Amino acid sequence: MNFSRDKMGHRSGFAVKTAWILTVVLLISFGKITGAQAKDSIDISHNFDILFFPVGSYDPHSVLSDASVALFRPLQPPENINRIGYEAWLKTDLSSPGRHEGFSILEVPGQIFNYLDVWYVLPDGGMEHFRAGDRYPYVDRAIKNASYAFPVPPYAGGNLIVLIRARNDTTHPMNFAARLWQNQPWTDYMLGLRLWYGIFLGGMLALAGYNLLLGASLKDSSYLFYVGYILSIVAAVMLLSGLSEEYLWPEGKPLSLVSAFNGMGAFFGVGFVNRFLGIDTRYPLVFRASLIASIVAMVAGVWLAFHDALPGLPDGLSAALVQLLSLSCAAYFIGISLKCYSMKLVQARFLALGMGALLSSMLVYFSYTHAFLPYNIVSAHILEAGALAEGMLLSLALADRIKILNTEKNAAEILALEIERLFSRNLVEVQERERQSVAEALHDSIGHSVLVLRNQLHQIRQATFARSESRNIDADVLNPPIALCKEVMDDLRRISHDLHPHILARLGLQAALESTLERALDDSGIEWSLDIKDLAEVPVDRDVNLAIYRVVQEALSNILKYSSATTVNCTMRVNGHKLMCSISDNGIGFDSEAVAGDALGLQESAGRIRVLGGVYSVRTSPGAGTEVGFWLPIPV
Amino acid sequence: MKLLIVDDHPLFREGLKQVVNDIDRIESVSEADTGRAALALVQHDRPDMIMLDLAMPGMDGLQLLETLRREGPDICVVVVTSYDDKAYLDRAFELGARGYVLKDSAISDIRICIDTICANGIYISPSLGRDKALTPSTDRNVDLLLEKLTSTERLVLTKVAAFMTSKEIARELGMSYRTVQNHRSNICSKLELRGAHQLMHFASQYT
Repeated sequence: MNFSRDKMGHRSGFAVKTAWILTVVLLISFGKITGAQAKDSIDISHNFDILFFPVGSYDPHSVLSDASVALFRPLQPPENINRIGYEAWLKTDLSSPGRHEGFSILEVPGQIFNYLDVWYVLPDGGMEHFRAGDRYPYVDRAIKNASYAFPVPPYAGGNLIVLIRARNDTTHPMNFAARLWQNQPWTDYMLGLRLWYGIFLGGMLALAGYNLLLGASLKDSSYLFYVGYILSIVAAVMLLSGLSEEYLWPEGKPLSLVSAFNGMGAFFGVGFVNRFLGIDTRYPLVFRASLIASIVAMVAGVWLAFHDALPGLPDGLSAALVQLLSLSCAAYFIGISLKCYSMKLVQARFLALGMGALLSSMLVYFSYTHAFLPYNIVSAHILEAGALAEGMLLSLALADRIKILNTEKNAAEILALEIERLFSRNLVEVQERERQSVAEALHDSIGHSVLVLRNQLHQIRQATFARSESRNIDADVLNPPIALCKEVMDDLRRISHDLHPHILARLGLQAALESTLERALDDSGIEWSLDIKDLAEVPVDRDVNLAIYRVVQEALSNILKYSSATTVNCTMRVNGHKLMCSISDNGIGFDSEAVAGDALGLQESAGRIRVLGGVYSVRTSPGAGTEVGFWLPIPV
Repeated sequence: MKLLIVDDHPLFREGLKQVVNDIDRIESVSEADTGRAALALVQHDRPDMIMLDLAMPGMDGLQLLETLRREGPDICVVVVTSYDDKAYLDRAFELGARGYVLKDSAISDIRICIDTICANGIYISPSLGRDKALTPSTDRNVDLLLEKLTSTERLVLTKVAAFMTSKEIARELGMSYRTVQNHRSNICSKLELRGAHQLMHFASQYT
């Protein structure tokens, strides 16, 4: 992946800010609905009596008139009122105990029933009937709302009997609750709920869209899994909340699709965690097992949405199996995240947190739907909060990973640079060693041979002089070769000195620089000064000395070749942990941009300084002299 | 006088030997091709003079010179080298060498070099050129110059004239090495001398 740090910093910062804003708005709307509910509605769940009859065996009239009425027993919420093949009949008298006049709406909140019928027995003996439920057309509802609510007819002075029939064709436990509302608070409550769901859906879709775009630009499939997972959760919550009937199936929903999205959520969730944490390479066996389990969960969930049971399994067991598979997938999600986090894979932290949030909200929610907890606003809506929290935390995980990958990439780049630097240093060292051996060969072997040759010629000349009375032609012919020997020796000495500064190793940097300045500049009549301070106080290793020497050497050679300078100043200072050096002249300078491309010597100088962690610069312009400056870090 | 030639080039040693063999005051000549071999010979033969090459594998000439100084045998050392850098010249005299002869001109210079040193002087090959040899101001200025020095500096100068190194002077006068170095550089700047060889030259001639 190739992206810049700034871009990523911006992206993760954006995600964090969005998460905070969403959380705050969520808390406000949550406060609004709980506040409305606590203040202005009455929980009458405990007032109901309950009786079970086989499906279709009774109608309201017979339930009210039959002797079996005596069998009604008090309902004790939280209580599971779902019995396969049975209908639950619930009855209460709104006028006793206590009259609840002025309350015009009866709400049966929380879960979605397949069939929910309400009959009011009016004081005059007449009956009114309302119905709701996802198998009834949404358009039939007297109060158009996702959760079930029915108008309460006026019953001033008389009694009002409420008879409710609840029937479910699924095996899920049903937890029954009932509340009475006055008009205005009900409207407020409805607004609060809309706000709640609006934020939930808006937040989730924003997260999905944002990460979808991000995933597309980063070409990273874990984003696609994330989006699939988030959308599955959104769909499941839509179905569980009853909103799907309102917007998608106003004529009645033929099927419960929850199990399908349950399974898909399991598949995408497992896919996400596997992709995100690289489980396929880390633990290939675990990866394959989890992949198979999640695919089975998805297929079974989708199958169960369209059929009563999985092939070869009884009804109850099928649903339980799908739920078990989904739960295992969630458990795997959180388990593998924690495992990876314990293996120092930091990006797993938000995964574990996110799934932790969803699982805890699911624990509360299903405790409520399975009738271990009574209905209240928190237990009925915590799932949305948990899902949204998970969506945000997983999105944070993705942003977090970008940050971590980026950090790793930077670390890798630094390492690569370090290796490159080491390699260059080695190259320089090899080059210097070769130069040294060539210099020594020139100076010691050839130089000495020429010296000896010259001395021998000299002796022959002396001998010739001695034999003859006066200078003669025989002796004089030896003068040119002797002079030539001297020239060759001078050349050799100069070349070998340039190749390898033997003074540097023997007498140190100052002596070597002095000697070089002297050799280079004295003959051409250029005034020079060398000003070195504090250098003796700091430890400077051989590489650094050699680099300084070479850079000065290169600068001097440029001064001689191009500058027409008349004075050269070389200064060296120790400043904290830096060794600063500059070589300046008063020559004609040059256009640094014009020579940038082909100044091989300057490039080599810059390279030598850079591999030692220093900075090299040339400050010049035509007519204004030249200053070669550099600093090198001093090892502490 | 016993002479030791230390050089790793046998041909050059041979040439040098031929020259010094003709000099009367040289009684015997021994040879070493490394610094270590030279040290052993110094212990064994107790030579009066050493002709020392600077560039040698292993222990080089300057290191050998330093060791000789540290271990204290009072031997005249003449550096015979092909390095014409002033830095080596300075360093060699700092370490107490008495002569500095370039190999290029060794054959012709060596005789006068030995004579100069035996006459308690110091010798530098003329081909080192230009400002290398001292060109002191006229004799009548010498007293004037010497008056610029403090008594301690004059004391240090006499020790320099006795061919003592800074370390030896420090030991003898009970000063630190650094103090002696400071005195030396003060003397040099007052007398307008450049480098240890000029100082030594001046000291040996005028104190």
